Amino acid sequence: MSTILAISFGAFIGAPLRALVEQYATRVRSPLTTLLLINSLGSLLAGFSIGAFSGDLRILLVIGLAGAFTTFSGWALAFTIYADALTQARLTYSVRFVRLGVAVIFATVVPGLAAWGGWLISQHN
Amino acid sequence: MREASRLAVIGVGGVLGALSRAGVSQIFGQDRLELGDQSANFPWATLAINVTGAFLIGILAVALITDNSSYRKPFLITGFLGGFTTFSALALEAVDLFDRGLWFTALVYLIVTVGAGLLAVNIGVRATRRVVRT
Repeated sequence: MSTILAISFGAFIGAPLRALVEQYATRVRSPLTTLLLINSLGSLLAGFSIGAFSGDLRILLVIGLAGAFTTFSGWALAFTIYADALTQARLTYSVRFVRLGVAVIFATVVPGLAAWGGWLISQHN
Repeated sequence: MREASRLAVIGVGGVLGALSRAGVSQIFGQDRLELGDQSANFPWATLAINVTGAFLIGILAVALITDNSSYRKPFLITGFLGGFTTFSALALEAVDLFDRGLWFTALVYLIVTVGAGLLAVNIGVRATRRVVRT
């Protein structure tokens, strides 16, 4: 029961927080860059929290808050729209391949490093 | 006030999504939330969650493209699917696999998630476009 409450509480903050960050950040950056920021911040929080906390607080922060703040489906949709836009811009195959490749590498490596960094910070007393 | 109720709708969707994610993790027996957990040699639960969520967002993005309701998209797409799928667990699990020396498994996990996820969005979009047109 406490697990359900912890996840619910974290997600009730995490999902609307993502909507707010998206709303403001997409005024100055593309949806894909905005989601990279969101996923990296959330991964940093998850990495730190899994190392720093235990019990229900860890569940609240890692599964609830960071889990609902970050999104894979939203990123996959934004990436698909970006890929369509590149196709419609009639860019050559090699230019599209490089741009999409860079987008995928950034989208996976930066949150990964953020999660690792968060965990390292939590271990540094 | 309108903004507050939109955020509340996203919050409720997010809670239902996150609880569903936790339920799927439990079904897969991967809900221990510990680094270095030897039972989690491949994070099947998160992979299944993210690919399923990507397929559903492809369907909904097309099905709700002309939807004028102020609550359906925030509830289903931003709230539920956003809360159901996750990037932080993906990042944590990949880092954990690397840390345990399972770097090949970590790379396969990342490549399969991204590849299958993007394929799932495309299948969802194309299938729904076909249904919506006819």
